[in-house]
Amino acid sequence: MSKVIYAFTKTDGCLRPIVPILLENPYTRNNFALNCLLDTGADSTLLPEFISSPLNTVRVGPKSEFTGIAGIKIIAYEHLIKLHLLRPNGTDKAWSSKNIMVACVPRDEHQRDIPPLLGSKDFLINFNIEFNYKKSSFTIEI
Amino acid sequence: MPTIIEIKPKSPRTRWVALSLDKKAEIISEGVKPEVVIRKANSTGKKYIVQFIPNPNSTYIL
Repeated sequence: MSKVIYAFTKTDGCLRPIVPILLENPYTRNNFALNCLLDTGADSTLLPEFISSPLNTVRVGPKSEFTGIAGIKIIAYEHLIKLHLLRPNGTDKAWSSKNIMVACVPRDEHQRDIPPLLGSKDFLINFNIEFNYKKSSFTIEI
Repeated sequence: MPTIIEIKPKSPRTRWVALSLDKKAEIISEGVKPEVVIRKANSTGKKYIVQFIPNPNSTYIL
């Protein structure tokens, strides 16, 4: 097992546990890196569906519906993707998933994308994670 | 100990940025549509990572 230490990211004056993820189309190998929020309150990983454009993926699963904390209903479509957790330098891989179906959310009627969120049942379950807000860092044990 | 990364876009409308993959983590491109941000970042030839900038007025709380 190895431990990887990340710094929190500060946006809008808030500290957020954000990690670099390499998203990959397992068939074409198209990929790009996206910073994603570790969302311990989310059951599933949810990504904005714009990722299908650079990855060249298509909707492969049925439409599914998620309910947010404010009761807002969100429609998502599954895409087959491989996730690689990158080390803080943003290039070296620390961990790789199998090819998994990830729920991707289309833009809403106001043309807004959702933030990329890493949820418990398809991502966080693989790790032991410690948050240390006093030291502004968090550790992922792989 | 890692240092906190602080991101300050130029425009308040910015929702996505491409950050350089070095210790500075400088903004290479920014905008509202991530596809456009990626296209601009690709044109620089630099290595980058895409980052969402939360809108304080949005309801994106899951």
